[in-house]
Amino acid sequence: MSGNTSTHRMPSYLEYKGRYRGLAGWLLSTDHKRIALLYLYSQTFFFLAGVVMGIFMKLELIAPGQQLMQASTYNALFTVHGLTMIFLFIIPGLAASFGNFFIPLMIGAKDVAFPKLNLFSWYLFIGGACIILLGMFTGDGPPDTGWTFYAPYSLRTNTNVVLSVLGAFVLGFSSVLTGLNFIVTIHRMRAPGMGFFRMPLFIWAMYGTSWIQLLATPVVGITLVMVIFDRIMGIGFFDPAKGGDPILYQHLFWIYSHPAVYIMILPAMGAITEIVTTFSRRVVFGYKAIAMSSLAIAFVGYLVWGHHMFTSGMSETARLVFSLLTFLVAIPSAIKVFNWSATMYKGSLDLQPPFWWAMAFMFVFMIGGLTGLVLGSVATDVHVHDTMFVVAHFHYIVFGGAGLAFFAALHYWYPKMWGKMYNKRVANIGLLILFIGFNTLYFPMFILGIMGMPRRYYDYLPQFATPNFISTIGSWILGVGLLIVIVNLLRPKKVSQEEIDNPWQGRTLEWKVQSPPSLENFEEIPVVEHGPYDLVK
Amino acid sequence: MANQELDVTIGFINTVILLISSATVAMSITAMQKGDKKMTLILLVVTLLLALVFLINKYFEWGAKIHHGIYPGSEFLFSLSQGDILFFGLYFFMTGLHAIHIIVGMVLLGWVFVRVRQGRVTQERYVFLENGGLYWHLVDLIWIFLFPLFYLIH
Amino acid sequence: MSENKTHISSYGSHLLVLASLIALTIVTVAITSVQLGAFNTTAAMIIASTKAAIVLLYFMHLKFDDKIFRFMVTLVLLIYAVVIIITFFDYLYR
Repeated sequence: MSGNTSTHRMPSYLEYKGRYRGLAGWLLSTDHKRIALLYLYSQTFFFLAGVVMGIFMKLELIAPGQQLMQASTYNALFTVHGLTMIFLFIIPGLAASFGNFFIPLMIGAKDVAFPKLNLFSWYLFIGGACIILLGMFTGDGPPDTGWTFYAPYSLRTNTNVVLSVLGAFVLGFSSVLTGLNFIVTIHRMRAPGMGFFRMPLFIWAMYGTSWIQLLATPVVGITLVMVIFDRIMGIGFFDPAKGGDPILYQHLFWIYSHPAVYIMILPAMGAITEIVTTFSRRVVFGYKAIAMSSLAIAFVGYLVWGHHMFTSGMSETARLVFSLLTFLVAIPSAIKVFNWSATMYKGSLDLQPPFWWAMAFMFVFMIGGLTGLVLGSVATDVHVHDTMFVVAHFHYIVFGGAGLAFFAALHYWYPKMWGKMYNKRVANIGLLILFIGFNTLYFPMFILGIMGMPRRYYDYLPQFATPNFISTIGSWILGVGLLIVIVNLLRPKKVSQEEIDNPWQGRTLEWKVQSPPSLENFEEIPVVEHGPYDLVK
Repeated sequence: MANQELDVTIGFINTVILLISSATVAMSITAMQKGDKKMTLILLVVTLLLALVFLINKYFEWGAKIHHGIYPGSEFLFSLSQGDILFFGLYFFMTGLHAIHIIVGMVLLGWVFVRVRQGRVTQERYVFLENGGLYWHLVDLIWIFLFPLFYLIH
Repeated sequence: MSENKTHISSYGSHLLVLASLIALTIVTVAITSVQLGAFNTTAAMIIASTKAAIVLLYFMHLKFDDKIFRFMVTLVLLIYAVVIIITFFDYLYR
C-alpha cells in the first residue's frame, strides 16, 4: 500500500471538482480535509487578531501612567483578547483543524463518522464568532469582565455581556458536536487490523480530548445560560443580594474551563509525540504509558478545577483537596515529557524545522508546567494569585504549549496538507526570533508577579517599570518572528513529488497516501498489520 | 416553606404522564422491530398527545403562579425571603428548560412519525426512531429527578 | 445500533417496567409526605436514582446493548458523581 502513490495519482482534495464550484465548493463541502482547512484559516485569522490586541496591551504597559488608552478601553481589550484567543483560537485549537484533517487519515478511514455534522460544527463556530463580534460593536460596547465573566460583576456591568456570553454558548455546541463526531469516528471507523493499541498516539490524545469536549462543555453551556437569565430576568442564581452564590459561578465555570485547558493541550501533546517519534527515527518509547497518560490527564483534569479559586473564599478543606488533586496532574504530564526524552535518546535525530518547534514546545512547556506547581500549592498561590505570575504561567502553557505545538504541527503536516514545501532555513530563523521574543515577553512577567504586580491593570507603580519595558520589547520581537514564520508559510516553493509525499519518513498511515490526499483518502482501505511506529520496509 | 406552594397532585400526574409516554415510545420501537407499522404510528401519536397534556398541565401550573405574582423579577417575589427567591427562580428556570426539551422532543418525534409513514424508517433501518426514543427517555430521566427535588423534598 | 443481534423487548415487559416506575413514584410521594427530616431527601434521591436506572437499563435498552455502552454510561455517571462530591467539600465545610 505504500508504493503505489507515485504510480497512479488521483486528483487531490484541493483540485477535486464536486457538485459545487469555487467558494461554494468549500463552504458546502463535507470533506473533512476541506472543513479542517476552513477551521485552520478562520482560527489563524482570529489568532492574528488576538496577537494585534496583545501587542496593543503591551504597548500600553510600556511605561507607568496612561500611554494610549483609557482604563476602560484596556479592560475591554484584555477581555476581547482573552475571548478571541481562548474561544476562537485555542479551544478549537489543534483538535478542530489537525484533528479533523488527520483523524480519518491516521486511522485509515475515508471521512469522519458524521460529515454533515462536521460542517454544521464549523458553521456554529463561525456563528458564535459573529455573535461575539456583534457584542463588541453594539449595545454599550465590548464586555470588560475578563474572559471568565465572573459574577456578580458580570451581572452588574453595563457593557454588552449578554451577546458575548451567548456567542460562547454557541461555540460550546460546536465543540460538543466535534467531540462526539471524533469519538464515534475513532470507535467505528478504524481500518481493519487497527486495534486500539495500534492507533497513533495523536489519535489517543484526540480521543481523550473529545471526551472532555463532550462531557465538560455542557456545564459551561448551562452556566452561561444562567448568567444570561440572571441579567435579563434578575433571577439571582449568582447574586448575593438575592441569596445567590457568586462562588457557585466560579465552581461551575471552572468545572468546564479547567478541563478546557486539557482540550487545548492534549492534542498539542499528541502532535508533539508524532513529531518527536518521526524525527528520532525510533519506535516511540512507552507507547502504552503515553496512550494511558492521555486518558489519565483527561480524567484527572475533571477533578482539579478548584485550584483557580484558592482565594475566592472557598472552604479550607476544599482548598486542601484541590491542591492535592492538582499535583496528581503532574504525573501523567511528566510521563509524556520523560517518554519524549527517552524516545530521542540514542535516536538518529533529524534536525528539521518541525523538530525544532517541538523542542521549543518542550522547553517552554516545562517552564510553564513547573511554575504551575507554584500555583497549585495553596501556600504559594495565595501570594501570586491574580498577579502577572499567573499571566506568565498561563501564556507559557497555552501559547508556549498549545500555540507552539499548533505551529509545530503546521510545519510537520504542511507538505501533506498543501502538497508544497516551505523554506526550511527561513522557518528556522523565524522560530529562533519568535522563541527569543516569547521568552523576553513572558519571562519578566514571572518576576513582576513575584514582585507583586497585579494583572489586568492598565497602569502600575514605578518600581515595576524595567521588567514591563523589557516585556514590551519582547512583544515586538515575538511579532517579527511570527510575521517571518507566517510569510514563509504563505510563500511555499515547488519541490519534487517525492519530497512532498513523505519528506520526513513518517511511518503513520497519513504518510502512505499521496500529498495532498485524494478526496477519499485511500483508494482501498488499508489493512494494518503492525504498530503505528514500527520500522518496517 | 416555598415548595408547599407547588401542588404535589399536578406534579404526580405529570410524572405519571411522562412515564407512560416513555413506555409508549419504547413500545413503538418494539412494534417497529416486529414490522407493525400501524402500531408504531399509533404509539407515536399517543406519545405526542401525552406530551401535549404534560405541557397543558404545566401551562396551568405556571399560569397560577404568575397570577399570584410569583415569577422571576416580580416585586412580590422579591418581598419574600432569599430562599424563596432562589427556589422559585430555580423552579421556573429548570422546569422551563425541561419544557423546552419537551417541545424539542415533540418536534423530533413528529419528524420520526413523518418518516415512518413515508416508509423511510423500516423494520431493517429504524435507528432514527430509536434515537428519537432515546432522546425522549432522556427528557423523562430529567423529570424523574426534578419531581422529587421541587415537589417533594421539604 | 447492533442490527445483527437485536433484542426485541415485548410489550408486556415494557408495561411491567412502567408499572414498577409508577409504583416507585407512589412510594416516593408517600415517604416524603411523612416528616422525616434529612432522611426524606436521601430516600427521594435513592428512589429517583433507582427509577433512572430502570429507565436506562430497560427503556433505553442499555441492558441488551453492547457492553461498551454500559461501560461508558457508568464512567460518565461516575465522573459526574465525583465532581459533585468534590464540590461538596466546599459547601459542607465553608
